[in-house]
Amino acid sequence: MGKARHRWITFLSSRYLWGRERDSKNVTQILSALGLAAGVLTLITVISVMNGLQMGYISSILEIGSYHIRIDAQDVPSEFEDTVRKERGVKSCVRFADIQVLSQGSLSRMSPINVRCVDSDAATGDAGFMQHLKITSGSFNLKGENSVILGSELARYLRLKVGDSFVIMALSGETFNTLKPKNIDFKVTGIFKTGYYEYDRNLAIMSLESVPMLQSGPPDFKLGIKLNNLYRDKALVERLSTVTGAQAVSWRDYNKAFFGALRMEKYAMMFLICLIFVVIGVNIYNFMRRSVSEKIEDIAVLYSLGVQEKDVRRIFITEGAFVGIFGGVLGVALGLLISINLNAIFAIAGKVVSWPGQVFSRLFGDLFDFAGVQFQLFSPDYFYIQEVPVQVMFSEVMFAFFFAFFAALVSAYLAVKKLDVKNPASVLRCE
Amino acid sequence: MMDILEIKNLYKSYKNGDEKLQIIKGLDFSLPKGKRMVITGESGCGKSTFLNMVGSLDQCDSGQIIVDGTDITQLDAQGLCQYRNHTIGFVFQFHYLLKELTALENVMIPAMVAGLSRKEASERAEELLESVKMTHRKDFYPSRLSGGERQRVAVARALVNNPVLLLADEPTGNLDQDNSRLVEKLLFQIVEERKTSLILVTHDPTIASHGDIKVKLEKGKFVTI
Repeated sequence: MGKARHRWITFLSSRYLWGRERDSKNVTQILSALGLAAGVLTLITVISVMNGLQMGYISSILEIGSYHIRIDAQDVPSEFEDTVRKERGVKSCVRFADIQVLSQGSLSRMSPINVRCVDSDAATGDAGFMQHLKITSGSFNLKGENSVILGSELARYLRLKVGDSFVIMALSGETFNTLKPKNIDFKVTGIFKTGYYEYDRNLAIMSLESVPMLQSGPPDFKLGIKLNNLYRDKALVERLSTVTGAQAVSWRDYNKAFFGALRMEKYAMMFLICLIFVVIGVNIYNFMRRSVSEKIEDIAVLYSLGVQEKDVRRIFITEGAFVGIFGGVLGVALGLLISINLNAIFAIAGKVVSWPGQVFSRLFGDLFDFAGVQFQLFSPDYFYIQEVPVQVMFSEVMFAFFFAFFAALVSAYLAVKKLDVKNPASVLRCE
Repeated sequence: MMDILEIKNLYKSYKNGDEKLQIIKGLDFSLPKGKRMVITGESGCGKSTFLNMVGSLDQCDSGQIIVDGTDITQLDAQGLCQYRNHTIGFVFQFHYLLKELTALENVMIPAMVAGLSRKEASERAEELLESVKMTHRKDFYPSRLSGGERQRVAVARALVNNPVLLLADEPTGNLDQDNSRLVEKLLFQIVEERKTSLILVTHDPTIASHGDIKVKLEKGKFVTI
């Protein structure tokens, strides 16, 4: 489309949309734009919260559980750790072991747990691990004999606190027939919280020196590698596998099922929210059809002034595009505003909800006292989160905007596709 | 003098149920450049149909309509749009101004469609509005203008691309006598100044008297009066 043509089509479309002579048709267009904005706002907010929750799980899993790349330590020479640490893009490389045992705490409560054995200097060797492991009680101290750090939910379940002893039942023996259970006493030196319930409930951390006590046979050590950019894993996995002959496993493969499920969950949610745009699209289609039929005289006049049929269509499609842009931009602005300030908004909402109770208490304090009751929309008492995590992703914001924009554009196009100005004279003669 | 319009063996009919109404019957006619032609005739005799065919808003059954050397019956859709935009100007009985645009913007539109920038179109439109004595009302919307003012804006719009032929279909048909005289005076004055040829359809004998060529459409043919 030529620049001059684009200029007058845009000019006329904007006048049709924002004509200073206000009438009811503008209300329909404004409502359509607001509908789009509501859809974009919802999509951005819901997906941002979902990202926040999912990325919380994912980063906990990657930093605490799976590492970015893991490789069997038995398959590689002992100096290999140092070699890997010198690789470009490698943030850390640590030795660890995962062992499953049965534990018993106070009041004879028992629970199967996963024991992660790490170097007692893990605090300095793996910053990401320590960053996600918030010590809520005691300290990260594995240097003492038989020290253990427990997940907060596990400690709560076993009724244990820092300084308490608890028993782990491990198996000893060389073959299946000679396996015997043995009880080992451990001392709780710290309690941690990750925010990921699975780890808080089932994970205990011990030193690498504890491995022979817990595991019969040769220790099953692994190397956990973390990268500066976790998405640059493929090249290193390939190189490590080629150099050592051992099978290096990337975080993508190790967590494939779970991460795949998270992705599917997100796509399904996006699909459901995008259905809003179908409804709004139908609305835009209807208002555009009505707009075309209301403007049939204008169309005939434009035709008499030398405007081509396809340009008349472009006027209305541009009008739809304006609605899409306005709705999209407004939706993105509000969506970002709400997403970024979601916890503040929930806090205000909580106060607003609590306010009637407090007024009630002041009036009838003798009978009812709600003064101390502070309502929280996402109270940690009921939800396993301190606050609602939010992560806004630029690509998804752009997706929401363009989806809204194209929904408006396609609806407008379909509405004017069959526009036919075969006989303008008959339209102009009707008057 | 060269002809601005040549009509050769023009036929036009309408179907009314099973009946075929022959409106124009083998019309042959030519209009010299710069002349003002006035067409009168009874209601329904085909005056507006003739004007619409010359304006390419309606199609003829057969024959040729040659405007400024081009047979418009042979033009494709794009050619006809260019013809309507560049070669002719149309003034209807009703103003048909776009209500979302101001008087100035209404006049600018055909110029912008022709490819002029907004600034150029605005300058040219202001010049035309001055000619029809509407400068003081240029920023008013049609709803705020009187019938006569609207029609003066419509005249300015029709002339903004300097057409060689202006087609006016009862331009004063909806106006009171004072406004009719004013619009009539301005219309003839402007076409005179710009040397624009004019075909005007009217029932008004006063306006008809200003024509260089006066014809009556009767039984599908022109009769000179």
